[in-house]
Amino acid sequence: MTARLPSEFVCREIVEAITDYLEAGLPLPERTLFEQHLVICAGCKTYLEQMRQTIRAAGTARENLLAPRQRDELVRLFRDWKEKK
Amino acid sequence: MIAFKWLARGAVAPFTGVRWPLADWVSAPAGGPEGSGVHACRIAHLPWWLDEELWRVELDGSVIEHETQLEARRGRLLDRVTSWDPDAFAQACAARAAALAAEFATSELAEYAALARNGGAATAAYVAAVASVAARGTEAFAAERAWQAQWLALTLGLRES
Repeated sequence: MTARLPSEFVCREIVEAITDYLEAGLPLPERTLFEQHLVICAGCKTYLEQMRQTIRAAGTARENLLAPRQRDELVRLFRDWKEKK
Repeated sequence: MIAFKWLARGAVAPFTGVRWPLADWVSAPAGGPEGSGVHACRIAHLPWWLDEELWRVELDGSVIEHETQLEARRGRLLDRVTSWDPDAFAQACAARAAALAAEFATSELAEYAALARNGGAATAAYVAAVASVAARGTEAFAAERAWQAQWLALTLGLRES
C-alpha cells in the first residue's frame, strides 16, 4: 500500500520494537499502534508468537541438557560463524 | 459500564493469550502502569480491534478513555454477540473501497479495492479507510472508521450503556 498514514506502524518497525513490546517497555501510544498493526498483519502476529515461543523455549534450556558432542558442535558452529563475520 | 471486547477464537485475548472465563471477573495487576489494565471498546473503537469473537463486557470501577479503547481495573464477559459476521462486514467495507475506485478511477484506488475484496474483515476495514484517505484526504480516515462503527452498531444491534 502506498498511502501511509502518519501514525501507522509498518512491519519493519514492528521488528525493531518487538523486544520493548515483550518487555512492556513501549509507551502506551506506541503499544497501541503496535497492537493495531497486529490486527491487520497476520505475518507480524505470527512473528510475535514465534518470539514468545522462542523465549519460552530458551527459558527452559540448560547447559547440561546438551550432550558433550552436541555442545562441541554448537561451539564449532559459533566459531565458524564468528570467523566469517 | 457496559462495553465490548474483541477476542480470538475460544475467548482468548489476542495479544496476551489469556483465556477469558465466562462471567468471572478478570483483574489487571494492581499498581500497573497506564495501559496495563483490562481493555474494552466503545462502539466507535470497534473497527480498530476486529477479531473472531465479539463480546459484551462489564467494566468495574473508574474507566480511562483512550483514543481507541477503554481501560479499567477489572472486567467480565457478559455474553457473546453471535450476530457478528466477519464476512458480511468485510464485504461492506470492500464495497466502500470499490465505490471509491469507481468514482476516482486511479490505479492506486483500484489496488486498494482489490486488496479489500480479497482480505478478511480487519484487512478490508483498514484498506477501505486507507483508500478513503487516498481519495479524499487524511480526515477521511476517521470518517471511514466512524462509518464502520455505525455499520457494526446497526447491523449487530449494539447499544452502549
